[in-house]
Order: sequence, then C-alpha cells, then structure tokens
Amino acid sequence: MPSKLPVFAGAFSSFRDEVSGRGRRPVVFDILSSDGETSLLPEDLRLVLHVNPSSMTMHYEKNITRFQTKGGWVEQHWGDSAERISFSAATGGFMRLYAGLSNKTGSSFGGNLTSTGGALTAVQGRRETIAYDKFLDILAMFHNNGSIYDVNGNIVIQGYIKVTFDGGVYVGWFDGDFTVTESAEKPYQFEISTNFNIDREELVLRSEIMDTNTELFVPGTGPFDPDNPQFDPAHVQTPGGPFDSFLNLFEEEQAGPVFRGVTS
Amino acid sequence: MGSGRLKKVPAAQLYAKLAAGPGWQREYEIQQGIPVDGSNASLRDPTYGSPFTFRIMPPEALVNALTSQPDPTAPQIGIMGAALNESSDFTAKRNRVAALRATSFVSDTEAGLKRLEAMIALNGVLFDPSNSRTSAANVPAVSDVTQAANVLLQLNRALQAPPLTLLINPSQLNISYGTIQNYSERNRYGYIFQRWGEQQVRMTVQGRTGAFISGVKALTPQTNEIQNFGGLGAASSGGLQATPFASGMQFASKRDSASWQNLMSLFTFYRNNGYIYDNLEQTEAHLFIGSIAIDYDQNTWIGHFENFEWQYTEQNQNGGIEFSFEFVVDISYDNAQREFQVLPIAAPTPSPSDPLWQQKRQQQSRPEAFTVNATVRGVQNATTSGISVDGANATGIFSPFNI
Repeated sequence: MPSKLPVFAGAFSSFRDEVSGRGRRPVVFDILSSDGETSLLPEDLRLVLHVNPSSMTMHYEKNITRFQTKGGWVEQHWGDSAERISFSAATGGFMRLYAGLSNKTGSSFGGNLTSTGGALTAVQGRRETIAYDKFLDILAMFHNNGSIYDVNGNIVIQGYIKVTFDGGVYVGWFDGDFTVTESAEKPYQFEISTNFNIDREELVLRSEIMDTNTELFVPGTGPFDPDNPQFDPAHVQTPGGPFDSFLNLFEEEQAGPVFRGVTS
Repeated sequence: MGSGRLKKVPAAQLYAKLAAGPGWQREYEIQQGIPVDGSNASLRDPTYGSPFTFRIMPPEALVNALTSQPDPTAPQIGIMGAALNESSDFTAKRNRVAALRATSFVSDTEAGLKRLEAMIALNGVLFDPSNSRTSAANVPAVSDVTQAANVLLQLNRALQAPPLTLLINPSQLNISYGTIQNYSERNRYGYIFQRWGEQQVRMTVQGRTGAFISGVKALTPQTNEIQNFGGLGAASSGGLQATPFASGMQFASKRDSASWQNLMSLFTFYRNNGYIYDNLEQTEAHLFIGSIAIDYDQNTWIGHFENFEWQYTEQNQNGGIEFSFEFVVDISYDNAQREFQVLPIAAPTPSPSDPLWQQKRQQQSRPEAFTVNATVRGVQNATTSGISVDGANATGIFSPFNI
C-alpha cells in the first residue's frame, strides 16, 4: 500500500499545529498592518520555519539612572528599555528526492538554459529544497519587516511583524543584522541569527483556579507575619467595614485630597 | 518519593493583579492539568532549607503618607541604626508595612478591590476640569481622584501579593561590591589616593527552572483511573487513556507546569519592580517607586531588578529554561547579626559625642575608669583617672556643660 505521506516534510504541517493535539509548538511569523492587529497575510497563510529556531533568548532591561550624591545614591527610574529577542536558527538539511543531502548550487529545475541556449540536464541542487525555500521566506520577511512600499520603493505605511510561540505573542520588528552562515563544519544547511525588537508582548499564562477570598485574603490563624499576605486576625475586616467606608468617602468626597485625615 | 502525594504549588494567578507596565499584557487561562513540582520542597523550607524569596516592598512615600499615626510601640529608627543596617531598622520597616495593612486604605476582601477597580473604570475622565473631585492641591501629585484610586489599587495589589519563592534555587549567585576610588593620579611625591565611597551592591543571579511537567487532576477514588475525558471512556471500559490536554514531561506541558509558572511569576516581579504604574494613560512615567526585596541566607537585599533574560534552547526541550538577572541593591540587612562595619573611629578620649563611649556607658553596669584631660582656657577641669564612676556620674562629669 503506497504511503501518501510526503517524502520530505517540515517539522510542522501547519501554523495551527499548536492546537492539533500532537504536542507541537511552531514559531509562527505574521505581518500586521499599522494598527498592530490586522494581519496582512491571507487567512490561511503564516510563516512557519522548516524547523523551529534552535534558541530564542529574551532580553529585558530597565532604564535606570543612578548617580552618587552627598546624601547617598539617587535612582531615577524611567521605565523599560527596548526589549528584544535574539534568534538563532538552522535551516534544516538541504535534502531532496533521489539526491539526498545536496550542496549543489548549479541547479536547473524549471527549465533553465545553458549559456549556449540548450536545455541544461537536470542537476538537482539545494535551491529546490524545502529548507532552502523556508530560508528564503524568512529572509523575505526580514526584508519586508512590516513595511508597505510604493512603486518607487519608498515606505508608505509601517506595520509590524508578529511572532507567536506557545502562548507568547511578540509584536515588533526585526532589527540589526540578519546573518547567514554557511560553514564547512556544518554542510547542507545554513545557520541564521537575527534580533527582533519587541514593541508589545502578550502572554497567555495558565493557572489553577484560585479563590481570591480564601487564598489571598485568609485571616491569619498563627503568629502574625507582616510579610505574609494573610491578615492579622486583629484587623480582619468584613464587607461594609473600614475599607468600604473609606471607599464611600472616596466616592462622595467632592473637594480636596481624600487621603488627608482618613485613618484607620 | 515520599507519600506519593503531589506538593501543592501556589496558583500562578496569585500575581495576576500585579501591575506590570505598558507593553506587556497577560491573561490567565484556567488550566485543566495540574502543575507538578518535581523539586525537593524541603530544600526551600524556611527553617530547615535555604529558600530564595522575593517580596514587593511598597513605596516608602506611600507607607509614610498613609500611616500618619506612627505606632508608639514600633522601634524607633535611629540614624546610627540605619547606618549600621541593623535588623531592628528592617523590623521597623516591616512593622510600618504591617501598620499600613491595618489601615482603612487596605482592603482584606476581593470585593472591596473589585469595587475600587470599578471606580477607576467608571469614574470618569482623567484630569477633566469639570471633574469636581479634581482639586488644585493634588494636581501636581495625582491628577485627579481616578488616578489616586489607581495608586491605591496598585498599592493594595502589591500588599496582597505573597512572597515568591523559587522552586529551585539559583545555580549561581554573584554579589559584587565595588569601590569608587582612584589611585592613578601622580604628583612629585607619588600616587594620590582619592576615595568617594562604594558602588551600589550588584547581584548577578543565574538559574534554571525544572522540567515541564503537568499532571492529570481527576482520579476516581474507586478505580484510581483517569476519568472519562472527552468521551474517550475510562480504561476499565476499554477507552483510551487520553486527555484533551498535554500532560507528563514534554514541551507541550510547559504552560501547565509548575516550573514555567514559577519563572513567569518571577518575570512578573521583574516587570513590576515595585513600581506604581500610570495604568490609566499607559505611560512610562511612574507614579511611585517601591522596591523588591530578596531574602536569602538570613540577608535581605532591597533594590531593583536591572535586567532579566531567559532562553529557549533546543538543548533543553523539556524544561530547564536558563534565566539570569541583575539586581542592584539600595540597602541590605543582615538579619542574623548586627553589623559593625561602618562604626566611626573611637575617640582617643571619652567623649559624649563618641557613640562607642556612649554605648559602653549604657551597656556596662560595672564602674569604669576614664581619663579625661579636657582643658578649658588652659585650666584642667576634670581628671578622673583611677576613680570609679558609674554611668550617672559619668554623665554628670563628662557632660559638655561641665567641662
């Protein structure tokens, strides 16, 4: 019985593999319009690499200025610095039917002609492999980087690149270099490295069910620990208690800072 | 394995309400599997282990403002105590936070905070001149009551967040102390030493999470089998032992696993960093600056995260995410003992302005002999060499008014 499975296939059959129930988690690339939400790609088209990147490193940094004064150190906190992801990836092996792994570059697939105009004998090379195709795809996405060009090649609208991986959504742009390395030590594939600036990050996390009124607000039963969120039994409040009374005041106060003169 | 029962891991949602700033959004799904912690919990036992714990310290400015009635029983914070980083100073800090918790500014019910959230969501426009609650007095600090409510809500959420203990301690903790000095400028007599103090302490932490393991919650007590998930049927009736969600140790279990949730909780602490964010306008202009406390080895370091990194690698498919961060310390406390590293030099002669002498006078009950050769206008006024004096006498004799 002949198999209908493809002879060569990528690690993923679709960008929807995450919900296939097979435990696969592809890194998915998309192009968004300038609203940061709407995809510019057809509904069923997203870029999935032949194999996932070999590493993704998340870099986060705070923007803090510190200087020494006669009164000690002073810190100024300015929020978050630019955040980025460093990608390292391999294209996967340049493999094709009947030829196996190939590093041949003089391919003729598609009826290329010789310099004398004759038909070139088929020489199956690496350009006609899935891995090479996917490499060109991600390179094209790096060049695109969410930009919409006019006929003169000027950027008229700037959109975003969206990277999705296992509950994490990173919206931003490729930045800096896109480096392709072909080395003798690792033939039949390229190694790629690039950076991605994160403009917006969304994480879908999971948790067990938590009862906020019992797990966060548990009246203390043992010795009171000021670092534990469990409240001192002496100060256990009930709905309609001091905090609610304070909120009533907060809502009803019409003039003046309400923080003044309100104590427990 | 012990009794075979899984250790309860704190729900990841415990930190869901912590403010994390613009540019980072998160939501929580209720997971079907259960997070499995494969680490040895006894190693992080507060008494018998070595827990590595993070806490959020609310902004001092808010604590001071909202606890306007100081607790008369609270230890007084002295200048010397603060300089020595005494544990009593830290205890006083903690007591003030505890006192804040007892005020009417802090809710101990979720309903109260929901009401506050609703107030922020519905209370109108930020800095609307027609907002009668906007007063000239508080405009520079908080633009109107809605923003004040925002501050109050974040303060409540920070106080509500329980301490976070890493399931697995860092693999490397590097504490760096640095001087600010110069010994490179030279004159005719040689090199000149210039010193301006010390750098802030910088902690570099590297760690690794556990494996991505999640389990199946529903075991029927009668058969100890997995219940009928998704119509597949129980094993006893010939059904498949399958669940509609990932379980076991594999990458697909990542989001359900205790190790990933613990890392993301730590990342939430990094994002929060003790800040009170401008959540209404989503700016990077923070309203107040609190801090993060790290407790380890009976030390408490209070400061801020500087950066944070973590990495997916193909070498660690099933977990073991490597992470690292730097933490710059504002102040540290050794809770095990008092430190005397920054004591001033003892005066060669007893002096009321010499803290060492004062300490000795207060602590020692036995008579002490001092030699004083103080002179005023060339006249030797007091000599007590060889004379036993107690504290009361010494106070009288060595009072500046008597010399």
